[in-house]
Amino acid sequence: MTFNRSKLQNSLIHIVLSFVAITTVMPFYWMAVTSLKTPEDIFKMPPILFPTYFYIQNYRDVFELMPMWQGFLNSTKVTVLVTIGTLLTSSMAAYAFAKINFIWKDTLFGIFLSTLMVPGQVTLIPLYILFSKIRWTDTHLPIMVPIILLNAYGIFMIKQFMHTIPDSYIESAKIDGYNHFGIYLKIALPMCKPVLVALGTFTFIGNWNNFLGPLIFLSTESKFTLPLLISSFRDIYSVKWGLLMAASSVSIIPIIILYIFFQRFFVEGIALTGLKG
Amino acid sequence: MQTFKKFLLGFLLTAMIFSLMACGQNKAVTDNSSANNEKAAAQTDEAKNKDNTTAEDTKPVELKFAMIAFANEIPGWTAMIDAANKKLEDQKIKISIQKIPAQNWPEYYQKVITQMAAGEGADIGRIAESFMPQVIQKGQVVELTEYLKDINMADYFDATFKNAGYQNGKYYGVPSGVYYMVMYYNKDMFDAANLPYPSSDWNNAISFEQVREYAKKLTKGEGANKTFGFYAGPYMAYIGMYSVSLGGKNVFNDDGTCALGSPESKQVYKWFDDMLRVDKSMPRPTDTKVMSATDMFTSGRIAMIVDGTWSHSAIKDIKNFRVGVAAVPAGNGKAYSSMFVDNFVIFKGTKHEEKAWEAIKAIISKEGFDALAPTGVGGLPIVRSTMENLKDEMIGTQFEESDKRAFIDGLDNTLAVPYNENYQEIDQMINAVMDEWLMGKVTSDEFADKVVDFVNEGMQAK
Repeated sequence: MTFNRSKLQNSLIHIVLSFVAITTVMPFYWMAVTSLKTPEDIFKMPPILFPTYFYIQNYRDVFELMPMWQGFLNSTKVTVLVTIGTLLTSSMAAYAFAKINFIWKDTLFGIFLSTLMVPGQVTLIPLYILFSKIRWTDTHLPIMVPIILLNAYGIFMIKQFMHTIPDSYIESAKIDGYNHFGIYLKIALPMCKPVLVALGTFTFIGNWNNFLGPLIFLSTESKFTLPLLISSFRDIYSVKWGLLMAASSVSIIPIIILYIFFQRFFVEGIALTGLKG
Repeated sequence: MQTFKKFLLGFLLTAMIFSLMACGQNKAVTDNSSANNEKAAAQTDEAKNKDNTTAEDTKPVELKFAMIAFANEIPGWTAMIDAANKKLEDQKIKISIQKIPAQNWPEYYQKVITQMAAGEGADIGRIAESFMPQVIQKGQVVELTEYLKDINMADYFDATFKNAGYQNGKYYGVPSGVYYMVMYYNKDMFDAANLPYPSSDWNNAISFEQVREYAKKLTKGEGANKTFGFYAGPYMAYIGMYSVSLGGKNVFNDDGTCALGSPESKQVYKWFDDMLRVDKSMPRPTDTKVMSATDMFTSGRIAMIVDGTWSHSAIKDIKNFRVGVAAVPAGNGKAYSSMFVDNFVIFKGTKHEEKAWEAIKAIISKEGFDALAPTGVGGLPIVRSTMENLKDEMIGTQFEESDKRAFIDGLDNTLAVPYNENYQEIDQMINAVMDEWLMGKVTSDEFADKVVDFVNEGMQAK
């Protein structure tokens, strides 16, 4: 009887999980399938779930109409550098806030955190004028450097994790002759691997999809990132669904690859922070 | 120690990459900066808005043209600018396109004004009609009244110039093309229902009652497979358009107060209400949430749709059924069509104002529109000869003569949308609460009264 109940419970859990899995995967499947349909087939009723032939013209058009490869390279460059830079600066700052006592530490941290409350749109024009003065507009620097140098959310996230590292580890390392940089590198960083991967994943996804910053700061097409190019497939009056879905399918490939490689850490990160990208 | 060295090396490499990137951009940046410095210097000059023709101006002056970059529109605008550049060769002017990949006009506008604030703005550009009152009020565009004396208005559909770019007797923009409303219908559905086609005569258009009657007969099925008889957007401008056909006013009374509570407007709201809630022959917001009304029409699920000519390229591609074009429904025979005219403008801050006008003149020339019109981008051409020469190509050879006539005649029955600085905001506020009415929570009369309050309060906020 116990065995049967357990079997029944398992079956129910499997049914629920399968349902959730299908509803999660369905939009991605729909996107991929739509990208392979003719414009006439996209709105056919009943909808075509399993196309009998693949209309690859959408993909051809996407690459012909827009410099997608260049966009891909630009997005990769910006995202990879921002992710690496953010992890580096945020972890260093987090270590300092979590494990080093210095004057006005809490005030400074409060100031850092308060930057999270200022909506990005408010600072756009002043930032543009500032970057214009230092000749950074229409380069990738304005969409990389500020994010690398100050990611308050990242600092907060890693700092909270570093608080869980017992101070006795730090004290022991000091007795062994390590200075703060050595402790950061040898003790703190290895122990922060899950939170670093989680932050890295969020930063990667956030920057890969960043639209407003590149829209404002970039003007030359050869410097555009993928979200800018993809947005071109819709207009005021209509959306070229086939093209939009083909471009979106291409753009999420790196995210999927990233997810496959870091799936374990990604799940840990969600459990750790209660957030997802 | 070994790890520390590796870390240090990694850090230095990253720093080097950044430095190299910054250096790599230095040349272009330096070029830009010198241009910017020149621009800044010119702006502080008393004669900043006039050309300084010096001996070193022998090389072409490059003017930046800001353009919202939708993939399907880029070839059209590029062809137009290429044609203009050809015309401008002798005048040593070259227009270069700055593509702004915004998803909508507010994003485009944000980018344009941000660049302008930093002194890096484009010289000329294209602006949506709804934004014209705003840019005029903020002094972000140059007045063109004097310049326009330079062109022969008889060559153009001159009514299109009196859009939102024309304020208090002054012109601030020139049309980049014109969109207006027509009624498309599915001829196969009409044949199957044995109904006569709607009138293509704008002076004797199909009446509201007839539309309702036909829509009821053409509505079939249930659920996801339901086909609807009719669709039209019950937005402020269109209510104004239908009200005028009943003898009412176009959104505003002569004294500037809202006219949407008039008996004519209430009659129009009631007409929509009957089709939505009594006959259920018109899709409700829940139906058009997943698939837009235009997409529903192109997939054969709506029999008649009052739509803008911006949808014509999608409708022209329909192969599964025959499409007809008719005049927009009217109250008393004579039909009106709301027109939407985006504008070419000269942005304030350009140091080549006169050359910018020459550029705009070349862009809106016959050659410019001859290049743009076949691509179907930007609406119908405002140059009369272009329209005549290319009408078959633009409308589509599959359409019958009467359909083509209905399409073109719409242009002689246009009505400007009465945009002002507050119009867009008010329109968005009304649209946000429109579902209350469309979903049946308030009656059409109650909604009309609410609209009047919104408009009057919104106008006072000015």
